[in-house]
Amino acid sequence: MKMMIRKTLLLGILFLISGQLISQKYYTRDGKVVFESDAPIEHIVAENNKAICVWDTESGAIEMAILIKSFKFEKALMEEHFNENYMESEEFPKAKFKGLIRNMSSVHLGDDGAYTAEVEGELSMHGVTRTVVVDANISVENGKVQCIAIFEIAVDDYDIKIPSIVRDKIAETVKITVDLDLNILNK
Amino acid sequence: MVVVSVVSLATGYYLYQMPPKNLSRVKTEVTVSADELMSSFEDNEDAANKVYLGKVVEVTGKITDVEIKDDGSAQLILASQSMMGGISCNFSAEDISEFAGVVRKGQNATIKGKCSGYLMDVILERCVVIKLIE
Repeated sequence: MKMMIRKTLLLGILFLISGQLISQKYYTRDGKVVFESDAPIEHIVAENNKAICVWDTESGAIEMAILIKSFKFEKALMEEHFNENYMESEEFPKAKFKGLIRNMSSVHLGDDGAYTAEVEGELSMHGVTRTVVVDANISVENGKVQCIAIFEIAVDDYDIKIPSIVRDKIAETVKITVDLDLNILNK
Repeated sequence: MVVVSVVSLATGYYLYQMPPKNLSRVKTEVTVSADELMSSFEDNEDAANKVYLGKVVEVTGKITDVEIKDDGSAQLILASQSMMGGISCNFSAEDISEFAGVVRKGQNATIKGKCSGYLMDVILERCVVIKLIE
């Protein structure tokens, strides 16, 4: 009996240790998010270099957050309008994404190579939360993990109103590019 | 009449084309220590946002990390008592160029930047160096 308890305990401990080894997290706090609006009269690009992301490779859970005010525009007035009129960043300072890699079993961050990760999750910004499904291109080279995802969102879906007078200057659908260099998170 | 409208249109266009202002010529709205800035966000983020979000903030603290990127832009981290983060001060290549060779870990610095909020770090954008002390 004693023997059995000991064995169970030992197994339990081994399981815990191996679990810790497998459960690895990747992260960045300098991720890049580019916002691009291509309207007939004006092409607008803004870049944010301060995205944070944590990716748990065991569960496939991935979380991201950015500050709206960290988007940098080429023109001061664009930045002002983006923050004050459209994103209302005083009231909604962050955009967040919380999701899951659906095919985690076929993405091997430990091995060099190229993978496609199917990401599904909830994107929250401007007080609205919506489901987003996007394929991310993952490349692993010499242990360095890069993750790129490109997708489009309709500004109307997030309750962002564009006055008709600037319709020719701001696209109804904007392109979002996420570009992350992920490192192993040391506990 | 025509002249006035041409002039105002030209002025409007000129203003519209203006790039974002360099902060060294913008007045500081809040002056604070790195510790105090971090702890106010950790204690109550909503309240801290009301004080700092979008404001031009002058922060003083010890530099714990210097990162000069390939494109010449840079990030300096100012220490805080927090385990999780510090004050992330982000510089364009142009704004850091004068200090790129001299800035080091361990120096005390006063940095002016525009606060865009709090993730793990408190983030300041468009930073300029006001003072460096060995």
